[in-house]
Amino acid sequence: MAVEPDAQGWRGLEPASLAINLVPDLWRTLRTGWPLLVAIMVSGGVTSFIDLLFFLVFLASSLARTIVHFLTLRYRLADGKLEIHSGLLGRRHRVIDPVRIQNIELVQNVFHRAFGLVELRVETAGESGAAGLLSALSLAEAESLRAGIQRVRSASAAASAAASGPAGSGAAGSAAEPEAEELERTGLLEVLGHGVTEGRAGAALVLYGIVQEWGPTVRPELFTHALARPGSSAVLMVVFVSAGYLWSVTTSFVRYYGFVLSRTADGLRTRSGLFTRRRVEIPAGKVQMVRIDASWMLRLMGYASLQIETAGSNAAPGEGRLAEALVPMVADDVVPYTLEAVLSGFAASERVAWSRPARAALVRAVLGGVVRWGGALALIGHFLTPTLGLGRLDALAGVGVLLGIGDGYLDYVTAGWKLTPSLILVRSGFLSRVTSVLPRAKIQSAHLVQGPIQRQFGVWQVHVWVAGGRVATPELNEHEARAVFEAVSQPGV
Amino acid sequence: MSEPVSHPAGSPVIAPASAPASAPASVAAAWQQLDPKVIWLWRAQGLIRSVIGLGPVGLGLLLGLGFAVSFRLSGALTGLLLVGSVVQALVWPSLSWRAFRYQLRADALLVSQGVLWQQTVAIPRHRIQHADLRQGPVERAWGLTTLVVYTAAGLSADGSIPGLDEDAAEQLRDVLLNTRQRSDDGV
Repeated sequence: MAVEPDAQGWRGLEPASLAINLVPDLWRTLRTGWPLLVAIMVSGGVTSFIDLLFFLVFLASSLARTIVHFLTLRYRLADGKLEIHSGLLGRRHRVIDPVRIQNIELVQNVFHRAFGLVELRVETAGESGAAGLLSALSLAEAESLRAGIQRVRSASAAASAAASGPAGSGAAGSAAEPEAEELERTGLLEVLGHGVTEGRAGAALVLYGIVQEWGPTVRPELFTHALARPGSSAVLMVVFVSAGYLWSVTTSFVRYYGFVLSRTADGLRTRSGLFTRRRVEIPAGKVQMVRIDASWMLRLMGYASLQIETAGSNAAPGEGRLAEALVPMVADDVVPYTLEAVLSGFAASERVAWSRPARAALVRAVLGGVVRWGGALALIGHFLTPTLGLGRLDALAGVGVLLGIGDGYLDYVTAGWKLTPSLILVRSGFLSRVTSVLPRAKIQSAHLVQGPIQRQFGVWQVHVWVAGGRVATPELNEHEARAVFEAVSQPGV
Repeated sequence: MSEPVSHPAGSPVIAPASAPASAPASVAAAWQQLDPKVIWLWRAQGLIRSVIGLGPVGLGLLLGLGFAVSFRLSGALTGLLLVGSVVQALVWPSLSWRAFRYQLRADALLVSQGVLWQQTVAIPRHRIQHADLRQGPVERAWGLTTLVVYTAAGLSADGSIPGLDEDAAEQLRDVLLNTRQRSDDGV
């Protein structure tokens, strides 16, 4: 049942928001107060009235916030602006111009779905986190609001086009979901494959190292005998790495289940999620940058993953930053066509002729590879040598140096850049190959930089910033770097 | 790049705002250096930072190492730390001043700086979202102001010009904000 607007058109949240918002708010509160909780746990759990009181205070504060949020949050779309009013003691009245909206996200977690509601997040480039967050709307109301925002955007675009001459296009914005042309659909195996490539093996190894090093000290009865058995360290390491992969596969499955990328008359749209369903809409012309991740594992599978960035920060309270839209798996041969659909100015039919970095950058790349691999294998050897008998530490570090030379060389060979009249393309990394493509019309600033070591080699880099991030060219000689810097410093193309 | 031009406080610090847009952008204005007064401002700020920042560290080192090992060793190390930070506070500003210059072109603001890590930033004028004039207590005593320019890329991508005469800073800010084309901010 939709909440009826008052005389001035202000609407409120659905009453079910009281139930929907309490659990996430309590979780956020507990997460914020984790030092206190750790202190209580370490001191022996909830054993006294004081300890219990702390939990009750957490619960009461969440309950109070949820009730105040429901009672005070009002919103309306009036005079071409989205207005959101909230707060009891500290009141906030926010006015958002729909033209400035970077993306709209419709989120349905399990609680929303139980009540047939949806959370609507609106992002602008103005601040981190959602600029407008309406936590519990009926599906019909959310669709109607989205369509209303799109109507204002279309009217503004039409007015701008009329003022500047060329005819503009834009959807009128109907309350129904806009018709979509499907660009990408990710199957179940592909989603699981994406999870494998995201494997948290590094983090698992670090965790393993910590357990190996401090376990016998903290819990000697558990670790001293267990780790003394031959091969137990290797088994423990395999367990940790497997757990890391299992975690990332599960995360990928839950987050990207049923992923679909579509193009609508309004822009781009993604849908995904097993328990929490997300629908992100990126208005046309708001894409700031596209990152193509093609790690060695993804390349072996014949895939890449695409991150589509806008100027919105897309960080909900308590969450880390996510790309505005991430296409988890795109087949290699389809990547150019997806890029063409997402970025105006990119032609799938044209092969990119990459420009090379400066020759002096080869030495820097090799040195970097040696430090990375030598350091990593020396660290692993430090933990494994005593139990696995893998040989002396310096032998392992020597292998690391050889691997580093190879990796550094391949990094150098992979690195490339290209300036077209409308785009900047930069490619880097061999094992973790990343290609960034950004429209020159979106450039906010350009930086010509040289560190002290780069000065010894006579190389420079150009960093190009857009509102959604930045790219850095490979190391170039001075003449080339200054030419690129001058070119990208010119007003938008 | 052309040689920088040092300007005394109060003199015009910007190229004429009426520089024709059709003129080659790179010759629309010369590189400007900061008022040399800023060197002493930075020295004062560096010394204050050394006292506030290194005071507790120095005291901790002196007492901690003194009781644990020897006061002769801790005294020598603390003295070395203090002398190093004072020398750094006195010498580094003149190097920074030499490296710092800026240029207001018809199409962009350029800021070049850095002694070890050198960087030249170009901010297209029509991308400037807003600009701040900042003046701390030490800057106020010297009559100098810092102009900070923001784009939609976020704080780390923005440019700032310290050590500007107050009037000149206001003039530069007004020119930057008034001459930009407001139609497209790239977001």
